Amino acid sequence: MLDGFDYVKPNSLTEALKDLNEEGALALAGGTDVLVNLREEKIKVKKLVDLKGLKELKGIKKIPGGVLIGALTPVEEIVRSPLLKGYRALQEGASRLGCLEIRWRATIGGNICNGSPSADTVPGLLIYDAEVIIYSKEGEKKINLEDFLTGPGKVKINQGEVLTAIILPEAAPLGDSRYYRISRVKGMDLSSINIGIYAAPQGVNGMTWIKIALGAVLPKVTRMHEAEEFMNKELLTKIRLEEAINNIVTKISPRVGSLRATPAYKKVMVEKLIKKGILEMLWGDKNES
Amino acid sequence: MSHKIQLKINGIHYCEEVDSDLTLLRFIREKIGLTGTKCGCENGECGACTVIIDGHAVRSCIILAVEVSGSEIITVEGLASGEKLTPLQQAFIDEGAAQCGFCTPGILMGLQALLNEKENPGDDEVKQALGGHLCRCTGYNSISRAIDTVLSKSPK
Repeated sequence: MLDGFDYVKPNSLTEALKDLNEEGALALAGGTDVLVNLREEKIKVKKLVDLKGLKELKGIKKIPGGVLIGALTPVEEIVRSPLLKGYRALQEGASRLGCLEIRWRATIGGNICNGSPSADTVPGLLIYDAEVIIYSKEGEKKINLEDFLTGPGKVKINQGEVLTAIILPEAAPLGDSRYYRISRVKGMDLSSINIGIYAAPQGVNGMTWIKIALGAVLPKVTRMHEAEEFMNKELLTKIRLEEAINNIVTKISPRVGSLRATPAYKKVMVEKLIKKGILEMLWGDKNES
Repeated sequence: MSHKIQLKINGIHYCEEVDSDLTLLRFIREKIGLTGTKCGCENGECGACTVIIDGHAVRSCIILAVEVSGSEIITVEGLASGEKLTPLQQAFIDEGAAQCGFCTPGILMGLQALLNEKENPGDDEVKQALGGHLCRCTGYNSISRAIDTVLSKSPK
């Protein structure tokens, strides 16, 4: 039941922080998860603090060294923004979130703060080493998005803090990325597995940078640092790629109780999708999977 | 926990007192009395409650009325001008695209938002606009024919 909470819509960040400091206050962005969770009594709030009055939290702009995405930017704007064309996996992931009507309402900041291990925008952000800006009365701080995510439904945000923006470092001109998603039905469904893969030339002797983030496989969307390091330290051959993938698949242990896919299925798909993405980006191979 | 909101629905100004927890869907249906917008899953999944807010189709069941103060909303009742239906509404009738009709207002609003944005959207864009709407009667073929009819009559 939607019941028994108050609502405020502050006009300034200072005002918002004051409201958010109150016990039982919760930030409201697009509300596409918050309202569902309130109705299902998964969360309880005394006061919803609607951040949509804060213009400074909206929009996408070029900044020195990268792109800044306001936390209140609707997901569909991420999909369409010319400034984000160089971040393919992010735009592809964003385009798979919910449906068009949800994407016009849901925000990137909300998708992050919801802390879902299967969040569609997060793999694409992680492989581009995104940072988040957290604002509180002490001022603002920057945290790596990877460190900001702490577990299923959990992020490193305290009462009285607000995520104001996401910073994406400049995308390497020759870098490329892919987002793949497996779900039970093609339409509106949550991911059973999703994955962001980045590949770029290092500029020496055919060496490459590979980055991989897995979603809906582990308790949070997670970068595969060990395998990345293995792939990036020497020339990546197809044999070394197989080795790296085997290493990932051996080490991950997806949750047994998942409603959407068994651990064995997830492992097989992780293997196929990483291979597909890297073969396609590095060797132009469209058919391997 | 009551708030005063001002908004425009189908071109008419409203100034109403609402509780914090009243959804836009229930506000439109129960306070304003426009029952064309349907209450389906009330969970943001089925698309029956779709309305257009400030140009974008959205789900009114997962939006609070208090959130949209200052906005301009169009519901299915706002499509026709008097007796004159929109080309999309007419095509739905001509192609039998409504059977039980429960999903129809939401689908009309989703497609109309698309047509307002683009005169000649591509197949993929039409599919995207339909993607979040559940229809258990038509199998979508007649809906697809209806939108094709509208698009074939639009200037290329």
